[in-house]
Amino acid sequence: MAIGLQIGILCAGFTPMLATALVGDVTANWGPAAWIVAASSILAVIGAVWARETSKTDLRELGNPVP
Amino acid sequence: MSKTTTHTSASLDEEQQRKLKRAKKAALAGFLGGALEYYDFFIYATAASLIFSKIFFPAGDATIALLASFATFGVAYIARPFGAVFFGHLGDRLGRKTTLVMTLVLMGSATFLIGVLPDFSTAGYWAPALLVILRLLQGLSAGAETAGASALSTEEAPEGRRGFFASFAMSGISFGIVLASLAFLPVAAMEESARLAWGWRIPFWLSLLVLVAAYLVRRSLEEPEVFEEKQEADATVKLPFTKMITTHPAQFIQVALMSFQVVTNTFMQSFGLAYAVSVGVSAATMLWVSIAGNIIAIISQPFFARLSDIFGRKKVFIAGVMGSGVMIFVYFLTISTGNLAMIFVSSMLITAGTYAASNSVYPAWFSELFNVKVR
Repeated sequence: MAIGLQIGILCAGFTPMLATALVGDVTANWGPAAWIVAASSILAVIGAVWARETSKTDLRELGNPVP
Repeated sequence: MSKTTTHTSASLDEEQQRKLKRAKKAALAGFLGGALEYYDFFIYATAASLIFSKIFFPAGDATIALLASFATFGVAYIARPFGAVFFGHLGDRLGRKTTLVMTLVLMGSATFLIGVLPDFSTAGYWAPALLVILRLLQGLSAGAETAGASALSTEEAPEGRRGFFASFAMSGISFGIVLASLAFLPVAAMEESARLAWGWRIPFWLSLLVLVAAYLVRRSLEEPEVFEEKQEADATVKLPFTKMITTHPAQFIQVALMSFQVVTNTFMQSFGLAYAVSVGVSAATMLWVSIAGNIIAIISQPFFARLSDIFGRKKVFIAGVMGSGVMIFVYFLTISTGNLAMIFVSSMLITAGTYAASNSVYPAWFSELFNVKVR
C-alpha cells in the first residue's frame, strides 16, 4: 500500500515547481496552476471508480489471497 | 447455567473494552505521529515558499531561485517511495510500532539539523547540497509514516468503524500544519534581515519538542493483534513488496491514482502561499487562512470518515476529490483579486470540506484494498 501511495505523492511534490515554471512572472496567469490540481483530481477519481468498496468487509477477508 | 452465561458475557465486555482501548491508543498515536511528521514537512514547505530561495541559492533571478527552492521541496518526494519500501519491510518484519518509533526519530533529527545549516553566503554550494540531503532523510521518514500509521490504526479499529479510527492520523496531519503555520507567524512578522539570518531556524528547532511528545506516546503502543496473529502463524512474507505487486497489481495502480488527491493540499501549502505573496497578500494572512481551515479539518475529517463507514468509502472520496478539483479555480481567483474574506471562505471550503472528505477516507480505504500479509 505504502509504495502505491507514494507514487501519486511523488508527483504531487513536484507540482509547485511545475506551476512556478508555468506561471512564471505573470501573476494573473494562474490558470495552469489550477489545471494541475484539476487534472490530479481527475486521476484520483478514475482510481476511486475502479477500486473496490471495502467499508463493510471483514478485516481478515480484505484484499486478494496471498499464497 | 445463567451464572456461566453472565460470566461469559462479562468476559466478552472486558475483551471489547480492551480492544477499544487499544484502538483509541493507536488512533492517538497516529494523530501525534502525523502531527510531528507533517509539522516538520510543512515548516519546510513554508520555508521553501518564503525563505530558502533567498538564502540557500546564489542571488539573481527570483523566479529561478524559487524554482530551485521548490526543487529541494520536491526531492523529499523522490525519497518517500524508498522510505515506504524500506520501512515497510521493517514494519512487516520487526513490527509496526518499532518501525514507527524509528521513523519519528529520523524525521525529528533531520528537521532539527536543517535549522542549524549554514546559508549560501557562508558555505557556498555546500549549503543547498546539505539541505537536499536532509530533505531526502525527511522524505524517507514521511514515506513510511502515513502508510504505517494507517495500517496500524485500521488493524486495531473495531469492525464498522475503521474509517473513523484511521482518520485520526489525517487529523494529526492537519494539527501539524496548524502548528507549522503558528510557528511561522512570528517569523513572518520579523524584520526581513532577522528573519533570513536566524528567525526561520526557530520553527525547525521547535520540532524537538513535538518529537519528544510523539515518541513518548508511540513507545507505549502495542503491536496490532492481527499483526501478532500473522507473526504467530509464521505468515510473514519474505519480500512483501514483490508479493504485493504480483498478488494485488490492480489495487497498486488504484492506490497510485487515488493518491493524486494530495496534490490539492500540497499545492495550497506551497505554491498557493508563494503565489499569494507575489500578488500582494501578506504571508501572515495566508498562514491564518491555513490555520483556520486546518483547525476545522481536525474535526471534520473524522466526521467524513465516519460517513464513509456508513455510506461507503467510494462515495465520500469521489465527492471530495471532485469538489477540490472545482474549488481550486475559485481559490486562485479569490487570491488574484485580493479579497481577503473570499480567500478565507474558499480556502476553508477546500481544506475543511472537499479535501478533508477525500483525505479522511484514504487511510482506511487504501489499507483495506490489500491482504494483511502485504499491507
